[in-house]
Amino acid sequence: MGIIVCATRGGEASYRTQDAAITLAKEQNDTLLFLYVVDTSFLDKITGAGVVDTEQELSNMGQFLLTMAQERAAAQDAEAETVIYEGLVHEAVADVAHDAEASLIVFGSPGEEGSHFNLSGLEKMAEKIEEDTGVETRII
Amino acid sequence: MKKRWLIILGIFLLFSVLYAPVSARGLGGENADVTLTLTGRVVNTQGLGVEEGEVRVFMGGEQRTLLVAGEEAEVAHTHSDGSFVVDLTLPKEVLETKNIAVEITHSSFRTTREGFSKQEVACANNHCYVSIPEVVLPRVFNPAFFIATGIFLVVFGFISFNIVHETIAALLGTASMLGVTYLLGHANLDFWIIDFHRAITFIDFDVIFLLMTMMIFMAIMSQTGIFQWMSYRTFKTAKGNAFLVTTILVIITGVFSAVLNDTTVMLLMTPISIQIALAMNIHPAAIVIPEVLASNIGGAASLIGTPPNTIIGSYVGLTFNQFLNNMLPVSLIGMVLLIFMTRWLYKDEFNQEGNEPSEALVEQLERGSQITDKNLLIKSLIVFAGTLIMFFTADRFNMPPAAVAIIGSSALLLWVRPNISEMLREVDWTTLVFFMALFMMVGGIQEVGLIQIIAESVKNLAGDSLVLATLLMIWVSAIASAVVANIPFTAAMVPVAVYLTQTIPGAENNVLYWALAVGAGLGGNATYIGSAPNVVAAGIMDRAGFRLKFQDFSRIGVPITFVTIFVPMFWILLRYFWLNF
Repeated sequence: MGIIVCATRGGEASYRTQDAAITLAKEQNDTLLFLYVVDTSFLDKITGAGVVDTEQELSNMGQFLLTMAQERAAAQDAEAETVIYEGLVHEAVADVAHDAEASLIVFGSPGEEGSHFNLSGLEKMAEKIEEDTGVETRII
Repeated sequence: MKKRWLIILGIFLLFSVLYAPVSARGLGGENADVTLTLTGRVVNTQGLGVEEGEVRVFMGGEQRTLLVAGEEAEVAHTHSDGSFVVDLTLPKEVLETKNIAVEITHSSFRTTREGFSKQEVACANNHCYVSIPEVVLPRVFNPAFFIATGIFLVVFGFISFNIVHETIAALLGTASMLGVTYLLGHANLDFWIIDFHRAITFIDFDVIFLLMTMMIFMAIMSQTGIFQWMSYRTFKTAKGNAFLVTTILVIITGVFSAVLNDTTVMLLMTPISIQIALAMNIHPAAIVIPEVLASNIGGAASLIGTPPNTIIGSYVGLTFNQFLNNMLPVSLIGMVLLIFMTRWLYKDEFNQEGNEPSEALVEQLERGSQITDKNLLIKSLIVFAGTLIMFFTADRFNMPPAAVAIIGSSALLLWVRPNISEMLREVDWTTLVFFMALFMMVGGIQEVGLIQIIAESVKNLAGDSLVLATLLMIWVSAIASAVVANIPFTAAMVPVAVYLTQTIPGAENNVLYWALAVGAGLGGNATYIGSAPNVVAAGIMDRAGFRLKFQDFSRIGVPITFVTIFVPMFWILLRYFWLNF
């Protein structure tokens, strides 16, 4: 029994990925671990952002999104665990894969709406993570 | 003060001419030395004093050594109002026989030499005086002008399109201007933009201290959880009514943004608002976009609500109450319009049947929305209320807003006793450095004459029509703020507004400053990149998986911006032109 790490956020694109990861976990009888990455790099070019503990605010939001993902799994008779990491997405995913001894990492295929990455960028990131961690990475 | 001295000097001159025991033709002995005092004022073509102009005196074509503050010097410099006073000692026959001329040089102006006749010299004993009429210096478009303009535009682009961090961009611009000045300008004055000592005189420390101290307030208040708690209570109170939730959150955001920094308000409000939207099963944009628009509209209400207002208020010397009296009605009108338009533009979201959120989600929402430190909250609210009262009453004590904020934040620090090292780390120094570098850079473009050209162009366009100038100020600022960053824009436009206020009849009612505040404050609502709160909100939405595209934002932002400027524009016309109240 392995551990599937599914990096997730919210929105329609993420829900599709969550559903696919839930199905996969059920099929393989694996444990599903939803990951939310607190990435504040978008504030790097904005002044006035340093006053607030943005990591904490995003972490609260991430926990809410992960609770939604957990409920989604529960609605499909699956159990899922959650974890929040801070940092850049590719580094955080690699760290979680290492710490949780993951057997598979899944990313959602970028949809037309709401995607942070384009497909080629995501493929490159997935390849890099696979190379660094030795864990199979799949775009679903 | 200088005017008073000039008047005293004028009276003295008159007295000397009428009662002088000897005339210029009849000074003491044939070979006696006389002291000649020359006074005058150097102005640009707008009639504004030219500071740091170099004054040289020539007699019979030969440069004379001057006495400046008791020391011998070849050159004297004009003061901040363009005035100068120089002394020189010379044999009286030189004064009687040679032509005298004053030469004014400045790297950004054409060198000008003014002669005067001996009849204009008044003498008493061995001291002679002459007051030179205003010397008007025409601008020159030298390489320094084009280089400084180019640097400013590049930095403007960097900041507006988030190519590099604003602070790095502004520092880069300032460094480039100083680099050109020192590396090329020393050898050739055509490349002289601004030197360091002159550049730092443009830093507005009122703005810097106001921003810094308000950050301390924000840092302490953000630790209490008040923003999240109020949002959660709104969610609970509204009992599933999405429009009611949105309306209350919009009002909370607008009010907080009027008295605290709008960017940081959005950093705190956006994550909790996204959670509330998801709990209510509506698209987060239906709450977050109206909120961010409210942060800009609310921020426009006060001198401390948004950086453009702080810049305008400090540069012009407008008080907190003046801002509130003139801008609060504009913000209130804008907020009402925003709420109505939000209802209309998001009717599909608000009309759909919401489903009851699960207990787990509500629990999670509640967990993240607790008052984390009641004691700290009470203390900070009491001190903040006291500070607001001081802002309202500061006019009586002639106290600038920065002084009020320093007193308030110091009182809070004294009462709360936080770890001061940690507290100072909470101050966003990058913002303060950004503003300092920006002011220095704007000083550079002022020195080379870019601001003067813009001001004269607007003046030529508006003529003597204050209405036209007001409309131009509103809409040019609004359109510019929609596509470029409104902070550097405002910093560059305030001197233009000051010039127009001084030269257009009737503008003493400060209407052009309010027009600039309306345009710069509300114009940023049109696009995703128009203001920092928009970028922050879009960034957090993205982190929640709801990517806000440029067109998604503008689809809502453009109509709301248009209406929230168009209607208040009539208010401005009504208040300052038609009814004059």
